[in-house]
Amino acid sequence: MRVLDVSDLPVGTADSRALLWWGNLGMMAIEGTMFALLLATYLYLRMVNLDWPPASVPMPDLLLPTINLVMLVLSCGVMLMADRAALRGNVTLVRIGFAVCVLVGIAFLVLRAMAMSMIGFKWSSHAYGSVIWTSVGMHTFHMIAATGEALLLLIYSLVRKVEKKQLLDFRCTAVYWYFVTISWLPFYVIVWLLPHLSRKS
Amino acid sequence: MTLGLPGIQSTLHPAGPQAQRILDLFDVFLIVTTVVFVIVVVLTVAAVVKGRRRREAIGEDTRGMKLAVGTGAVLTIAALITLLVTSVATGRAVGTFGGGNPDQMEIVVTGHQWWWEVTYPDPQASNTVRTANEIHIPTGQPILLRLATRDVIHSLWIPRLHGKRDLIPGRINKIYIQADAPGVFRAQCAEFCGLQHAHMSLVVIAQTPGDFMQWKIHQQAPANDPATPQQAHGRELFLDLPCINCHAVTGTDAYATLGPDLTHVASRKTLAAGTLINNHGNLAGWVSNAAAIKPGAQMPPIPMNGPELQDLLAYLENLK
Amino acid sequence: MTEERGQTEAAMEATWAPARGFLGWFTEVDHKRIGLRYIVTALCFFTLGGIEAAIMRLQLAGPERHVVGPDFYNQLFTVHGSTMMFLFAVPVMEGIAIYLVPLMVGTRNVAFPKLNAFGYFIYLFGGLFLYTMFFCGAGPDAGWFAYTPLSGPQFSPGKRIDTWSQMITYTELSALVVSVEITVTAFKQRAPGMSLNRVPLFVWSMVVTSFMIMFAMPAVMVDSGYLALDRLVATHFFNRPEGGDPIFYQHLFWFFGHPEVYIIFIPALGFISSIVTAFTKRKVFGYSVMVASLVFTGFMGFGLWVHHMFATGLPQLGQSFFTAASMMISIPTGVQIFCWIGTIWHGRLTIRTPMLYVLAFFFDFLIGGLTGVMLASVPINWQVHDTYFVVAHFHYVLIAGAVFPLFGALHFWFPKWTGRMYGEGLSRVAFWLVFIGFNLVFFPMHILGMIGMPRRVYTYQPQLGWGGLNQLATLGVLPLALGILLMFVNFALSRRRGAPAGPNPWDADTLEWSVSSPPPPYNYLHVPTVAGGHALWDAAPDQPVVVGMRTDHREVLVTKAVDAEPSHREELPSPSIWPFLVALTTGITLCGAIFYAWWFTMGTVLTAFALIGWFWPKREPLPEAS
Ligand code: HEA
Ligand code: HEA
Ligand code: HEC
Ligand code: CUA
Ligand SMILES: [Cu+2]
Repeated sequence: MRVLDVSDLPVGTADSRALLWWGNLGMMAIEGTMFALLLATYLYLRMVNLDWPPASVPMPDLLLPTINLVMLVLSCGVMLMADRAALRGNVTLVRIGFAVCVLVGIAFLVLRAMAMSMIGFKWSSHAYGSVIWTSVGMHTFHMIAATGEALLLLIYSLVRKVEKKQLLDFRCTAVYWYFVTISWLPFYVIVWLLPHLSRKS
Repeated sequence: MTLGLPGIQSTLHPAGPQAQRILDLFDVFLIVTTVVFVIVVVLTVAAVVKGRRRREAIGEDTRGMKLAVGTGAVLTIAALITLLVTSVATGRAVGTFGGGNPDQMEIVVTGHQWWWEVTYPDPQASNTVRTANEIHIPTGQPILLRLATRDVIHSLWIPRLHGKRDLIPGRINKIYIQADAPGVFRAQCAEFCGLQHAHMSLVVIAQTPGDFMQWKIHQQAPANDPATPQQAHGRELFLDLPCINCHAVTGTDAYATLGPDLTHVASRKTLAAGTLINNHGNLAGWVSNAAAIKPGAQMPPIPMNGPELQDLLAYLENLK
Repeated sequence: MTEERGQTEAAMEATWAPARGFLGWFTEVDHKRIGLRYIVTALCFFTLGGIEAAIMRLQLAGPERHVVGPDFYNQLFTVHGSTMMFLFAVPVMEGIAIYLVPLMVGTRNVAFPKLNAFGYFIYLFGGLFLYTMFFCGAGPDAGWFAYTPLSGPQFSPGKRIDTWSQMITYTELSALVVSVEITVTAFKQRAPGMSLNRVPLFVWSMVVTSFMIMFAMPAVMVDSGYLALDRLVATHFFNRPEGGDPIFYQHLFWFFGHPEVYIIFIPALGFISSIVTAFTKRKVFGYSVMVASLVFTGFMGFGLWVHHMFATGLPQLGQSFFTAASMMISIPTGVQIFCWIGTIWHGRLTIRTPMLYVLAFFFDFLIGGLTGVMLASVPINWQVHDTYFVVAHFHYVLIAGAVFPLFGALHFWFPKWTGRMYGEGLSRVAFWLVFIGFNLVFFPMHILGMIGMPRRVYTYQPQLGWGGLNQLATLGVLPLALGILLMFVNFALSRRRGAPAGPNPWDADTLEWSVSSPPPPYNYLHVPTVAGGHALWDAAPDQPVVVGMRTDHREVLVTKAVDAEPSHREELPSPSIWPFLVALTTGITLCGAIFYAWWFTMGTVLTAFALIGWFWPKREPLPEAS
């Protein structure tokens, strides 16, 4: 009997060949589509309305959201470091990176809550309010999930020995973190910036 | 092409240029697709016969078969281009028909759950005609219909004159219709709009321009005054009962617009958006308990005794 | 040698042992069992949907009948349409894919078995939720696409529409997880040697379907999500006076809805390729053209949605574009049909019941496809949109285009799934009943549409003259239902008493036919290798098998996406209760939210805990030093 012996092949990997890595990509494709549809909603409603945002909408304050954005983008650098470390199997560095990012995530959520409390209209005020609140809400929800995931892995890495195959979980969390950051960029523009740049009326 | 099929609401019995053009286009499609159908079925049967006779399958993809499939693809593309071109041409013809005439006659059709409000606007407000569930048009000229809705989406469909167009909240849609000869064309709401979507029909009545003018002038007149004491009592009732919360009768204190305008209700052929023939018995049944006839209809049962009902009916039936 | 084999077998039996007992039903992760569950559940919903249809047909059999009233009738067609689309057609295709794709690519389970179990439970809960509400008299009643503002807070108070929008969320969640699994399994777990140009056409069709699901289903979740928000927390997405737009609802729905019909149809094309190959004893003509057609259809499917909205009065030019696109999509479909005809022409054809259904597909789907081309013409569409002509079109494409191939597939793989043959004679009787009944029911509807009958009317007046054709349509349900019933009876009887099938009763070509029927829990004792596009026909007499994988862990071989070179091994999870629990908490969240908004928050927290349980790695026995 001819055979193909695979006993030499590694068991599990932490790189982009892993099944979970691909699954994670699939999930991000789905969520990315959803964010794209939210954007499309904004653009569509802008197209069909003569005054946009409605005159009653105050100019948003840019300070908090901008700090938040910068913080989140910078945290991606830390994540990238942790990500690389995971690929090399350097657990200490992974722990440090995740700890920093969890802190950033929590700070982000606090600032986000403050920014949301200052929005000045409700989701039930008008369609503009509906789409803005839904966008911000969806992203916040994802941010909570990403922070929670990072926190959970951090705790796990502190109480248990991290096996080689679990390094993949850290890497997928990192990729998700980039995803949540990148998907916010266009929303930062439409939610906070656009009312300053162009108003239809 | 009508094959003896019933024609009162049929796309196969066009009565105006719009519907006629579309039917012509449909015939082109029907012929082309029938040819395609026959060819493909014949080929399938032939393949089955061949395949069953074969002792040994031909394993590779032969050049001959590649050619055959390629030809099929090319023919498909050619057929589709033909269809596309004729379709777009008809679309343009139908879409531009009637446009560009400044003194176009305009009718506003407004959808309600589950009846049609029909208005003939006039620069002079008192000359504006309001009626329900009936569109009267003069023959031989394009008429512009402006479509609006008070509540959900409806769709106006007069198969013998034109295809359908939706009535959408916040928008005004426009279509042009034209009837070539006098006639009565049934029409129906085509977009599901709730409980009584099935009973939201109307009639289009095409009349010679002369007859149409006569009709319009009559409709512009205020409602008939009661001619008998019974009718007078009926009017009193009408104005005392909740009727005036919903209905209008010009020349009286009733001017609500939640329900059909009743100024000339007795001149209409049907009641309740084509649900009933307009006659004494049906009117009596409707006024005493509308929802029993048309479950869900947004007109409440109005309690009154027999004589009162008769008086009220006498009044309504005088609203010619 | 045989002793060695026996030992391996025993070890594999132990490692891959299915979950047993009552609890085992909730913890099972075997793709075959979950796939079968999907299929059986979907067929139950099909029966329910069919019974609803039969009641509708009774009501419409003549003018002004009083079998049901308008309120119940509206629930009937809404629940019928939603059941058939969301609880039957999509899940049944997914179930078959879950069963077959891992076998066809030569692996031991799907990539994410726990997720797979979760997907099934969430689907089941969605269906049960809809039917619970329906039997309580609160079935949705605004049609299977629930247009606003009719479905909005103002015109549909109560819980009916909320039920519908949550059912969507459940079932789409399930479809989405399946799509990810199938894609990853098909790209990363193929047997060594099965490079992309050797992948069975059925697997290709499921890959294309899965991609379509990933990009289409989010649209309906967003859409029904907005609707739920409009209804529950007073947002204004579709409320024109406050700046929303009801037409936007339609755009979003059909951006999903059109791909949805191809999501149902493309797997059926895969069945046909499998069946035609087996019964003509030759490869399908033009493999690469077939794959290209599938991919092209998948892409084009996203560019047609406006053809459902021609009557809304959008600008003419834009509409012509969608006419052109709709016609273009006929080209790949036509090419595939030509390729199959060519295959049959050059093949050695035997006709068994699966092949009969395929031939019925050719005949009847053709009619449906051609009426689709008519509908795609804007002026024709203005006349026949929302009439029984459309009802006829979509039953021809859905039933003849997807359900006939499905019935063919059920017969074709029945021996694989149960180990026994179905009864051929009975199945032919059933076939003819279904075929004749189907045409009797739905052909007259074309004419009814042409002579003015709108869809979704609970009754019509006698003077319209639609009585006769409607009566004919109703009569046709009798043979149709009888045929389907007979098919089910045949399956039930044959499951126990049918002749033993052996591994490959059809002498077919794909890998699943190389293992016993039904396959063992681990599918392949040794992961196979593949030498051609038809794994079994092209195999060398001494085709190598893969050795060196652990038998004491649930290991699968991961290969490279394009050429399927072995890459590494991965361990898959054992049975687990967490998927069920997460589905349960998600279910509670979704159905609770429509009654009390705060349930949503509470349910989410609960779900978060369940998810932690799911993902928390199990403590491993210390690995041997290696
Ligand atoms: C399995 C599902 C399925 C499939 C495959 C299709 C296939 C097609 N459909 Fe259909 N469709 C539905 C399911 C499906 N449809 C449903 C469910 C609805 C209604 C939803 C609702 O309102 O409830 C609908 C409605 C619908 C409409 C809107 C009708 C309306 O509401 O007004 C339109 C309009 O363009 C349309 C067009 C088409 C076209 C052009 C195809 C094409 O893909 C067909 C292509 C196939 C062929 C053409 C035959 C084979 C080709 C050849 C042999 C080549 C030679 C052919 C020529 C030269 C013409 N469909
Ligand atoms: C895959 C999808 C699918 C399938 C298979 C079917 C199957 C059937 N459908 Fe359809 N249908 C839709 C999808 C589907 N449908 C959709 C999407 C709509 C639009 C809804 C909307 O407008 O919102 C619709 C709408 C629709 C209408 C229009 C309603 C209206 O507009 O008012 C009608 C009317 O005749 C109808 C009839 C039928 C019939 C008779 C069958 C038959 O083929 C069913 C046959 C099956 C069985 C009968 C069950 C199996 C039988 C047994 C186990 C035996 C025991 C049963 C009995 C004795 C009754 N359907
Ligand atoms: C709450 C509102 C309401 C009240 C009160 C009401 N109606 Fe109506 N009425 C309607 C509506 C709405 C319709 C259209 C119903 C339909 O066709 O679905 C209608 C229809 C009618 C019609 C048929 C008109 C036509 O052309 O089809 C008549 C006649 C009528 N009402 C008479 C009366 C009389 C008489 C009373 C008082 C005794 C009355 N209505 C009270 C709302 C009301
Ligand atoms: Cu109005 Cu249907
Ligand atoms: Cu479509």
